[in-house]
Amino acid sequence: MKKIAFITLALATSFCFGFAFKSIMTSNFDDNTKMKRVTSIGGIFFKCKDPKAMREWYQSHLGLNTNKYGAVFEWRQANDSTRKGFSQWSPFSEKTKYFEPSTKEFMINYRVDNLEALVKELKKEEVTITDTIATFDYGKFVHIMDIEGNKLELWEPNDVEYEKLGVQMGSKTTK
Amino acid sequence: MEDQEHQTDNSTSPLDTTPKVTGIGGIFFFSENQQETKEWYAKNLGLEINDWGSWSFEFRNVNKPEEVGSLQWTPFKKGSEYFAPSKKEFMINYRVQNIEGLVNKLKENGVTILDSIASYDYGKFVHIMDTQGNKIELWEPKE
Repeated sequence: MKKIAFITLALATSFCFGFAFKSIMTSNFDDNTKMKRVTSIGGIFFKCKDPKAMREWYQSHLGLNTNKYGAVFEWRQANDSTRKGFSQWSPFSEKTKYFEPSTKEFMINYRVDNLEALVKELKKEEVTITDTIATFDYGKFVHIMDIEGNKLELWEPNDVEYEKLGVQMGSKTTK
Repeated sequence: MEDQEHQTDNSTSPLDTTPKVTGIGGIFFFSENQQETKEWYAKNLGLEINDWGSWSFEFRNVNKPEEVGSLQWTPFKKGSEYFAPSKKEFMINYRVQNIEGLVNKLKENGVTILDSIASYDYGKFVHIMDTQGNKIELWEPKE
């Protein structure tokens, strides 16, 4: 009788332990997979011979509302329509150093949820980070290299401040 | 003059049919090894690559929040004919409204149109060249 009680206890204990262990494993796993990394595109930048002529061409033929930096596309977030989002479009001079050390003709800006946490993860994963996080009213920025020599801009946006900035500049968005 | 006003009008109402670009519909770029590139972006940046080899990010129209659109991010095989006659290593797809009206306007403006409008279940497409040798894909989505 004692033996049966012991076995039952042992089984119950191991069951509970197993359950607890599984929850620990699962919650760790969830933490890793839940961390949102890139959420959307924050911009597309590309080199050209004459950025001013380029901005004018896109304004007159395609209806982009351009300012001296390019154009801003305005949209709303898919999972929360009360929140706006913005993507920057900018032609750069072909002499720009902004894309270095990449030698590509273009650079993509990706919007991210939590830049500090992402940079920590990317460092662990030995991804090349080319600078340190820079903080502005309209968000935090950092630059990294991908596996094929493309430099990427990561942006944790503050869309409210970003919108204010555009209004202050008297710029219209494209939508 | 009326056309001029249309070009700069940005107070897009739901009934607005001004022929123009309204957003970015896609970013395509050459890759030496598409598979590796996709895996790298999935692993490091969390991009969810679909069966067509693209990451599709969804957003809503700012004036019509019930309308969900998507932007396609796709690495292409280096040297892909899809970008020709452009010699660039990237191509941008722009979302437009009233693609027929836009193509007519572009023709009047003397812009190079590379093909004729093609219709699919997911929208209409046409390709043009910009002033500095970039091929552009124009897309009027049907979503």
